[in-house]
Amino acid sequence: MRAHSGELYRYAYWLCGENALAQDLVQETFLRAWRSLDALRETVAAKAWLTTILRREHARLYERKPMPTTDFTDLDLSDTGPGPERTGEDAVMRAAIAKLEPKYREPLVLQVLGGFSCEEIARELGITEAAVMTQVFRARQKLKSMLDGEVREAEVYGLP
Amino acid sequence: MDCLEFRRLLGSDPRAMSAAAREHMESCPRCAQAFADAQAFETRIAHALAIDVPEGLADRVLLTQLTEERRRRATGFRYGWIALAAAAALAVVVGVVQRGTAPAHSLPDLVTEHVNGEERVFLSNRTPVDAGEVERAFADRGVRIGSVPAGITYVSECPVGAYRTVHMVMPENDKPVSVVYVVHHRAPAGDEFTRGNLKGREVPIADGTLVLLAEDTSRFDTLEHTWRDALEGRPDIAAGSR
Repeated sequence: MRAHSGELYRYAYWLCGENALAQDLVQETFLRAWRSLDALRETVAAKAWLTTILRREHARLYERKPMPTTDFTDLDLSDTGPGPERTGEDAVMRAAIAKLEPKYREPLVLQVLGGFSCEEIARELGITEAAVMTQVFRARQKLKSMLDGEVREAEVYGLP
Repeated sequence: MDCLEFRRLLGSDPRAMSAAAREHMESCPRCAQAFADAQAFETRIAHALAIDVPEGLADRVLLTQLTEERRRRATGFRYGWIALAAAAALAVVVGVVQRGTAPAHSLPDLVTEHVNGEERVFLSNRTPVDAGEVERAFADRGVRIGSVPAGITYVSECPVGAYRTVHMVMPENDKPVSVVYVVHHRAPAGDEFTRGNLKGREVPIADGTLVLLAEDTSRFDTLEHTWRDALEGRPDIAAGSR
């Protein structure tokens, strides 16, 4: 539990955008996991299993009541200045990630934070692997577009 | 593999580069530079995503899990104990009638043993539990409680020997103070006791017995009045042994 709680919290935060709600989601996830421990076939699959439970818990929140639009902290992305501090760089990137639509943000978070392959993400999200590859590609493009400002969305990592 | 295909793969997953992709990179300096840029960008994304985890989250999750497990076991115990307790009670009554003596293990012994056997994580938690949770624990034990005292950081319905209890912790100065209310068993009189490094007080309150247990007894008077108020009403009209 200790090994996964931090990672799950981060994933939950990027799903819902709220610290307190993310903690609640993690609590509920582990409670449900605890109650159905016999459903876990192999311990190596624990991370994916917990991620699935957390996504379902998050979806349950939307079933119970309409959630307000995720309100991430919004920073002025153009105001980076020369030689930004490390924390400033992180803040700018976080704001950009927060601005991504969920269909781009979620697979990106699963890939980068969770370390899942495109195939695993496809299974988790119930879409094709090709769709995942397209969405994470576009997620990166959109981030670069927001951060660099000049990159055309159609540009592919420096190709004309 | 050509540059376009390489760049598409790079954008989809910069870390999972196939043998063909690596081979292309070795022969194409521009794509090799693009790969280096992509790794740097990926590091920025990963660093930004790795937000700080709230302190103590793992402990709180563990505490919730263990509390839930205790509650589930207590429910199981409740129904199993109906049959067992009936037989045990009958044996005790017969034994008492025959010998005129109390059971071998006294309530202070049982409570001390139970508290010493609890997970340290319960006793070290400092986050107050919800008042509703405390009310539910008492209600499950068939006890109506007035206003829930503040400062309860742990609550669980625990079997202590043959007794049913609501076990709580109300810390003071980073030291746990165990507050165990034994339902439907009223001690004949109040008593002070010592078990090892723990000091205790046994107080008949309402239909049960409050047992306080801690290394330091300085809060015992306050806690006794607080719980008498919660379980019997206003202390100036409540009848008690003290």
